[in-house]
Amino acid sequence: MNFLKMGPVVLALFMAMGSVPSYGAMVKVGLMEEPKTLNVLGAKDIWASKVLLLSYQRLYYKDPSGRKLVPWLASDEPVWDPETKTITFHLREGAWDDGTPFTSEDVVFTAELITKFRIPDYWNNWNFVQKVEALDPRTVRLHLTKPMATVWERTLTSVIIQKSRWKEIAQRAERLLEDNLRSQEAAGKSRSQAYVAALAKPLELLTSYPVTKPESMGPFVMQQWQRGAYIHMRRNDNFFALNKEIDGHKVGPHVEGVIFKIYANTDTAILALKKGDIDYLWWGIESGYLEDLRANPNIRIYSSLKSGYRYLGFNLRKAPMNDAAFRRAVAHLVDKDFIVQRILHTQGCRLDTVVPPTNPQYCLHNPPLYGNSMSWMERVEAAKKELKEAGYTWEVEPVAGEIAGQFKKKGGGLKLPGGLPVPPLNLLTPPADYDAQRAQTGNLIQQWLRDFGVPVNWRPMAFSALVKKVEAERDFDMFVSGWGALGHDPDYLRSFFHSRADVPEGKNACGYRNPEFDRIADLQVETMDQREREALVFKLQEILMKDLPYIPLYVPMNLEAVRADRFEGWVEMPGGIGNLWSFLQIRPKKR
Amino acid sequence: MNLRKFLLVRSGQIVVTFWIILTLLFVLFRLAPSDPLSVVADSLMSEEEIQILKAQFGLDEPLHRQYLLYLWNFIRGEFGISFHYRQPVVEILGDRLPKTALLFTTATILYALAGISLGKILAWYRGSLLDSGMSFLGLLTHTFFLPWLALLLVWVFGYKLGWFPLSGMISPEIWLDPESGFLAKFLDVLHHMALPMGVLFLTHFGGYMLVMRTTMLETLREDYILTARAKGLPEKVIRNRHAAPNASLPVVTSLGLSLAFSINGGALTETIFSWPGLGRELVASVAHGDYPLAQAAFLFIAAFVLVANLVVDVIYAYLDPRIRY
Repeated sequence: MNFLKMGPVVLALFMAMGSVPSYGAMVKVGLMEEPKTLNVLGAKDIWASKVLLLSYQRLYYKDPSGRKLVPWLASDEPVWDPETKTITFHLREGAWDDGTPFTSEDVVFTAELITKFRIPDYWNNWNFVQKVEALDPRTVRLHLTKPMATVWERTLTSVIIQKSRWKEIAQRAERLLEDNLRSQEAAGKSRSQAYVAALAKPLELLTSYPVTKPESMGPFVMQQWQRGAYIHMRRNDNFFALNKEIDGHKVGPHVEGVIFKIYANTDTAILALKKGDIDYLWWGIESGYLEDLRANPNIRIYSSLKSGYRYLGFNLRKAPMNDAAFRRAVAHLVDKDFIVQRILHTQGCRLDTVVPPTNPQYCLHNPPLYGNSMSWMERVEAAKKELKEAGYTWEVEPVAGEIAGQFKKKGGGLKLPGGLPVPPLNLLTPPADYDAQRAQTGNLIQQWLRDFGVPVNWRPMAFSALVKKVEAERDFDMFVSGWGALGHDPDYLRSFFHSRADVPEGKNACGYRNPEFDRIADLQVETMDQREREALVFKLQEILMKDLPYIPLYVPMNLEAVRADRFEGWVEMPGGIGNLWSFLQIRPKKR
Repeated sequence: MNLRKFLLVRSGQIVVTFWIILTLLFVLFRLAPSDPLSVVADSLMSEEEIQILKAQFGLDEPLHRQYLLYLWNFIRGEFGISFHYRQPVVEILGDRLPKTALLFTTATILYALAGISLGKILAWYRGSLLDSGMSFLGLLTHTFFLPWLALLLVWVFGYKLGWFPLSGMISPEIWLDPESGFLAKFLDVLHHMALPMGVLFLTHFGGYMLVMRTTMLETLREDYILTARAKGLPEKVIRNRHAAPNASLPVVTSLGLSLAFSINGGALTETIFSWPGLGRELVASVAHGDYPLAQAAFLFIAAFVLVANLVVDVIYAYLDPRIRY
């Protein structure tokens, strides 16, 4: 009984605790997960990249339009010399947060560390760099093994780490590498095999090295990371661009610091935004929350197309997906405008090529539009025509109805050109709780194809299981998946569709093989002239949209919400307002 | 069987059970339909980079070698590096476990004590309005869907009334304030615990209360209670000293196991309240295919529950003189 009498006392105590002081011009940002690590060499998750964006800087950075690179740690445009295959540029004067000067030695050290230890995620962007030379403390020269166009968008936009901070751990990793290499070679392995095997431990040392306070050349410096609760970064008074003008933009930061708060579920994060516990939720908002948020005068919604897309992929190793006529017939039937209207509720746009429209420089302007401006009946007829011309037959031929998606007579028993029935096909998608739009799109495509006579079974499954089926086991017929934030450089087309990538764990999951595509893909990446490269990339898209290993479906909208009554000056870039420029421009709103 | 022999036999059983769990966990994670590399590897990584990653995590070894290495590492107390955090698994568990224990162990003790106390009173006043009302309330709250109740409480008490924080364990505003002392920080944590504890309390106290009420009713019919009354002992003494301790035996078993399981936290509660504990981590590690972290977390929970079972057996013998091993 005594215990029970304590109840009201305990409740009153809990309620009496809550006065929380306000905390100046700190922008409070909600994250949906905690960074896995703040070791920039080991960080792979998007949460770490958001936090580290404010510390680690790059030689060149996208301007707010997202269309051109501006010198950032570098002070001028890079100069390419085709004769010597070198790129030369100069560095700005600046210092790390501990006051150590930033010099070309930091750039050389970063490049050597990445190439020697083949740091995953970075090495791909540096493996064609033969040598990096510090001509003087402010001048750097890159020697390439061959011309590589990705050097602009990927190598020169790699983060730079501080030599003095990483030197000791790098030396330990190097000693470990040498020891391992000797024992691997003694075991009879060839030099290259021994090197790959010897890398495992030193790589683990480097990527697992605990970093709680990353060094900073950026606008903010890590102050405190309370695991599971928040990350506090204060303004970096040594920031090289503080109060300067870069590419016509006056640069801050104009806030005292940033506090990242971790929320494990969207509902609570949205309530926190409405309550004013956070100023910006750095995560896309589902359209279901829009009405509620728009009703709040203190909240502003920003919407922009994502820099990725969703697509329907085929397994080209199996019939009938190995037949371009079948894929084109499916393309005629898939009504992308319907998907955008009914599933995305217009929060997105249709896509007809494999480079998203957020990349206008490389996005093909006039791709073939399957079924575009056709009525539903015309779409079905066009699909039937494709298949009939290729020799397919039906036991029951479908007849389209007048209403979109409807059939007067449903098709059945589609037969391959040889007369064999089309086997039951699976269509994999992530489940609705992972991505409702992709799941619903899969369901819709299943319905259209079934009514057309193609025996398709939609199978939603855990996303990691889908990735394993598609990328590791190649055990699928069709799948609806997507690419998240694709960078500006279009060389990902080579990763996704080159026949060299059609290997276990390779990204060419569809098994697309076209020697002409391979030739142009290899050529474009070695073409340093931008106009020539654009033309080649357009050609690649034309080939892909004729062969259709993917049917591009749509680009979803990225919806983001901020407290309009607290800060102003958010910068909209392709992909959203969560970018470095925003954190350099926002300032407390004048009341 | 004397107690020492009993302990030896049970310890042997625990070791065998633990080895079975160890092996089952290894097999189950490898059978899971997810590829740990798929989450770690980036879409633009070359095949060679992926091979290097495989070698780094030991995923290039054949399964039997992975199993032997797993057993050997376990014997040495090596739980490995988390695929995702790139941090020793022991450090991650060491960080999450106290947070989970703080919330769930406190809540378990609170709702068990309240449930036992209320059950005792309800049985004493059986048939009264208090008994009917509280039994109904206990049943009702026990059947609440936890996520719904949690979100409702967050909305009412966190958002609308603003009495409690919406989520998390601490407020950066207080912890970053150099003038905040220990007391302010301590009260801040308690303030954050209020809502999740309230949810756990509401959904769990009813179970204890109803079990205690039933066992207490049975105990009150025993002859020794009649004897106590005949001796003229005060009602309060009969209830609290004679009936309640005997009636609470089944509840003690349940409480012991609840305390043991409380370290695994509750993924739902921790997710809704963004509580940085083990339950959330466990679910995330399974979903991400983070074998080292998920395996170590499950092993830790299994070990804790097995040992707790043994402890409950021993405590039982002390509480009930009729039980001898």
